[in-house]
Amino acid sequence: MALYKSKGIVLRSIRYGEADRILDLYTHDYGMVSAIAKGIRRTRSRFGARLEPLSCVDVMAYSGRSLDTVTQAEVLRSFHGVREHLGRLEAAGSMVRNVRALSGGDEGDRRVFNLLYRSLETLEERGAGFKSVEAAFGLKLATLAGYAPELEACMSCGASLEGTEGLLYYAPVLGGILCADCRAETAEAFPLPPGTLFGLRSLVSGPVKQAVLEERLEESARRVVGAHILAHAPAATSLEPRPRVRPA
Amino acid sequence: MATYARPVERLITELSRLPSIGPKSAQRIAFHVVRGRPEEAYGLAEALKEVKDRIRPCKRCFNLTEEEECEICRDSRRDAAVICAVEDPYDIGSIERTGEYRGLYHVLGGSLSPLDGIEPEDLRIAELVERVKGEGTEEIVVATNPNTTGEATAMYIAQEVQELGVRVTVLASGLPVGGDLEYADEVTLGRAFAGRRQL
Repeated sequence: MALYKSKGIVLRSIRYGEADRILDLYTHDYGMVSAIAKGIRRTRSRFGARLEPLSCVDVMAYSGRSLDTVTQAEVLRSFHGVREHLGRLEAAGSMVRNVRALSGGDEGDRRVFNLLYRSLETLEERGAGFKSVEAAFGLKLATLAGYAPELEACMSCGASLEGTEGLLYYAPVLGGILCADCRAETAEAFPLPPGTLFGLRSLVSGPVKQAVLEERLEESARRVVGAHILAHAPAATSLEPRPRVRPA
Repeated sequence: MATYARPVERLITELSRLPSIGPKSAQRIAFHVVRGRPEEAYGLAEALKEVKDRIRPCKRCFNLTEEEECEICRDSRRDAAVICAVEDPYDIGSIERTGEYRGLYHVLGGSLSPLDGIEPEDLRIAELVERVKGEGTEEIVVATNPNTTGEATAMYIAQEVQELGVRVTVLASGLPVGGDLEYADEVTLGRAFAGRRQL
């Protein structure tokens, strides 16, 4: 069994068995990895809080048939400032779900790792505008995965959107904007409040650290990103809420 | 063609539905039952039936009980001004064994997980808020697990009851008794420092 070492960000942690957890990590060198951390839920576990979701860790693991096994973990950055604030945590939650949804294959992409790290860093340092970071991250992630949204011309007639007057619509399945004349092309198209297109373009072109939208535009930008990824992600089902099962 | 007689196959299938029981373990347990004394097997079957027939959630705190209200809620000697919110009924047993707490409980039914899309509506947080309003609670001790989801739940509860004037506390976190400082992670050790006490 091959032992390997890589930097990784913990995307998800699921209880397993008596005291274990199964982790999804996005690693710098190997992309998405699922690994078991044995005994981690015991209070005396050597892992302690090192493998909490969103932590960036230096992890050592050996590969198994279906699951790898974590043998060592050292925290590089815990991002506990994100975990300890509900607004930041909600934005980070959507970001990690999008990474899981868009990472269908086994291939690693260091750009995705770096983007996630920088975005978590931005969230942790900020006092507001978390949804702008979440939307900017989603747009950049979709672009890296090959699903960049079309924000320059109408998806149906090809007319340039520059200086367009009147309402514009976003069509998630088509992957871009529809002008007012073509809005009937797809039933899923939804209207964008004025200024959203400009906001989306600024999120795509600028660095995550500078992602700031007016509060009134943040929600529509999030909606565009969420619907776009849901329509195109190979593992989009992981974005849907879990069935609501309430333990007795 | 089945390898074993139908009732044995059925027992193996039923046992392998249990958590942490794979097909090999199920087979081993099934043969233990087959070889064992009949009264042991009947006792097990009866216990399984009884737990499903008689156990239900307490209508006040959602702990498991045979009555309308659980034994803890019915105990008039307990401090009704304090409610300890826990994730699962088995957390109550762990807290009771400490002998340090004499208030009431509230079982949330899990923890909030923005990372997995588990929302407040999936838990019994609204019921907790109603209890606080109706029972004149003075303090909520949030005893969720000291991890991301447990702490998100604690933050959400504090936010929800902010205007009700109730005190919200969380369990202290830090180093486990008997452990070595050398192996403590940065977050745990940092919290142990933040929560240090004067001797």
